[in-house]
Amino acid sequence: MNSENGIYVLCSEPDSTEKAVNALLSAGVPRSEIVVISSEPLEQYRFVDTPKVRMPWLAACGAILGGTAGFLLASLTQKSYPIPTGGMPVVTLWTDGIITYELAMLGAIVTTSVVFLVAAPLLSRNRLPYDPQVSKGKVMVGTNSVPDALRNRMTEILKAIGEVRL
Amino acid sequence: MVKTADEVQRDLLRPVVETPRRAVSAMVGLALVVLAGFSAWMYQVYTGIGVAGIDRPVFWGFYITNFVFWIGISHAGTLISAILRLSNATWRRPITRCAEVITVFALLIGAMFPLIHLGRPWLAFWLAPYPNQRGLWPNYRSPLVWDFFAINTYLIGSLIFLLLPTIPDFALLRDNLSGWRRKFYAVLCLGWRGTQRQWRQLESAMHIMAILIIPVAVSVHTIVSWDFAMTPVPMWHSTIFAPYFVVGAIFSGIAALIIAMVFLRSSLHLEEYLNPRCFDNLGKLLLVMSLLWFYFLFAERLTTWYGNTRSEVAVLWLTMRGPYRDLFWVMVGCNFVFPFPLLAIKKLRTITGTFLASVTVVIGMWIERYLIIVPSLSRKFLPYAWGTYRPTWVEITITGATFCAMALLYLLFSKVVPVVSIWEVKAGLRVPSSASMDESS
Amino acid sequence: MAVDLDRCTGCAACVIACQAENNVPTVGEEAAGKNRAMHWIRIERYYQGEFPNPRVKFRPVLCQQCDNAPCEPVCPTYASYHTSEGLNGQVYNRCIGTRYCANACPYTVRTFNFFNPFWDKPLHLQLNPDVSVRQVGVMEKCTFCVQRIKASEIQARAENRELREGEPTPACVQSCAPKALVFGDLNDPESEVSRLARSPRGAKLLGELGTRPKITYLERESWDGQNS
Repeated sequence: MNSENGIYVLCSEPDSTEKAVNALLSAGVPRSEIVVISSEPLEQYRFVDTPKVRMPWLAACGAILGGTAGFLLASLTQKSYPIPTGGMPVVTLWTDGIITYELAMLGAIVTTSVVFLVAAPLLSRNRLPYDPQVSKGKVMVGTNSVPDALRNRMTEILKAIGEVRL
Repeated sequence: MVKTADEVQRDLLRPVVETPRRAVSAMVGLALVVLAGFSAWMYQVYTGIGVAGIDRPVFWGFYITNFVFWIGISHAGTLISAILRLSNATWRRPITRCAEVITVFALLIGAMFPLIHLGRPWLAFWLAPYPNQRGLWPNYRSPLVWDFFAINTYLIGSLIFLLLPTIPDFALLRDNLSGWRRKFYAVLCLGWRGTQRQWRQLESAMHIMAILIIPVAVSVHTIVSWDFAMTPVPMWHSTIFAPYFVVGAIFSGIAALIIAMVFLRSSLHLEEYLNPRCFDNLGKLLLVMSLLWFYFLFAERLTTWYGNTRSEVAVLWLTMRGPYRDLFWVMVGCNFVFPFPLLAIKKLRTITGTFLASVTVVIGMWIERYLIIVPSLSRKFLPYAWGTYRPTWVEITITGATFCAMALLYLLFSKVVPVVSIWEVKAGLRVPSSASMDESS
Repeated sequence: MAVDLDRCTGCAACVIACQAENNVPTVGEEAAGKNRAMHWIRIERYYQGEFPNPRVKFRPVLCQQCDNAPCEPVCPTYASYHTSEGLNGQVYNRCIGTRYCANACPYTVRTFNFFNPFWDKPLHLQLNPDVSVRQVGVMEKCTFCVQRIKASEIQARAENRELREGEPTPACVQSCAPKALVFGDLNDPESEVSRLARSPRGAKLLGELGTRPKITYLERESWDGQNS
């Protein structure tokens, strides 16, 4: 996706943001290609469909992984190290349970952050377009790939809504 | 006075951008005290742990008191951030980051104390399970090893919980600053653009983190309490310790948060953000925790008195009638009697009122940790082995230095990261406390 | 081990013998005043009755080598562990000095090296070469003279025989003039210590705590009706 082909408009109010999105939709841009960039979460507006990432399920998987690792760490290693206990039990479930719990939570936490980094995506190679005006409160709406035929018409429509960036 | 988003941004960025001379001199002063504490610790490592006041049978003193105290303080962030996020309380927006910062730094400081109190601290790494040729392995039965795992998990969790919502603010800083700072924040924000997808993922991640961090926090202080409860020492061997400590931790954590907010308010001119409504709500929470704490204290002491076991009653009276009674009644006064009117009467629940109550609560909770540890150890089972404890200058210096270290770390943090979460406050402007979205700002 | 309190005169020869045998450091007057004396065995002295006729009672207290030792599970580095022979062992090399075991011990028999121990010359010449010298930050306690136990076992194995009655002998038992301290094999029901452990005069110190100590204290009448 190269941004040379893209077209973006800077809107200063949520209303004009909606107009811009609708304009792009009516021009035939598929919803998944529309990008909305803002400096705050616009929770009450559903401009674009974001793909569902099953983050809670992945976090739960991370918890299971971490818990297993914890339990194996505590029980297997204790069994294999030649620790003299004089008849006392080597692997105690209550205490190994605590280690299991802690590492399970750690697994869930780390998995959540890794999933976030990958799914957001952060640290991505793709150079997403950006305008510093966004941090002053404007919302940037646009798409990365515009069919050439519609380009000029769209520029006209979007100019009416806000500043256009190409 | 309702502000616009731009004004909010300017106000909250100002502490990062400007550094008045007052702040620098404060940092230097605090750093000097921290240095003094560090030197005292190095002296102790060089000369031997005997320069501290511990003896037989009171083998744990100030250092473990401080350890439990700081881990307790670290529960501030969890309660405020996580629980208030989950319950969608809008007044949390300006204070979540203050609270999360307290958690991280209090954990870091608290986790220093197991190192400081060791007899051979240069071997502390033996607590970590690493493959070695010496037949060393940590003993998973020991609550200290549980501490190792629990505090590490909580530290990593709180760091992530702090840093995740800071990413959009790092992006804001990248856009508004120039020079090397711009590059610094550009790296820190990990390429954040603010697409809708990124916002959704962030909120999803924060939601899950909030759900995860609460049981971790509860488990951390439970495990710290089991450092004591897993021994047969009189008045330690009590099943009430786990919830008692968790409640005490949340209690002292909220108090520390209020104190930090008051200082931030005045020194960084954040009066409109850390407003009286926040303090009012936090004051109510503090009152609830004070009542809960008193309930646990009463329940524990009543059960001990009623049971009339000779060794336990000896410790009970030592604390309530013996040489420790002054400290005991000061503690009850500080934690319950004095804050109660300040927090219960609406007229008195002002910023000053909650601040005074919080200061006494922090002092009282420190004394409470001390009174849990030292009297029980000084009167164990065999009277011939009873003893006393008196702290030395080394322990007092290190204790004082940790308080200054906390303040210093906080000050340094406020210079690097906006201490009030800018995007959350701006989002809050757009969605005021009622759910309707078209009230203009 | 069995301790006959009706025979103990409180002479403290066992304390000195233990200190000599196990390289227990003397800490100096100032540290002793701060409750940091390091005796592995101590003579507890209690007075019963009033002047001019108090009765003095002596109780030697040493590590009880509990079967259910509270000091063992709490050591994070496994320095305090249960040997296969039933002793409570202390590995000085593993100890990092958390002092958790000392807090957990209800008898307060564990001592801690607050500083590096010192022996003014020429007292360093009296150190026992069979026993190590501990560093600062290390916990120590009575081991039932494990070096003597091991030496006897090695000797017995070399001579292809079992251990005899009366060998090994810890230093305190060896030095006790009135023979108040008796040591032996509790697994052997015919040994003197087993016989004494079954005596109706016998009781365990702080037995109600469930630590299952190995030392039986024998006395004709209990102190004040309160020690079980």
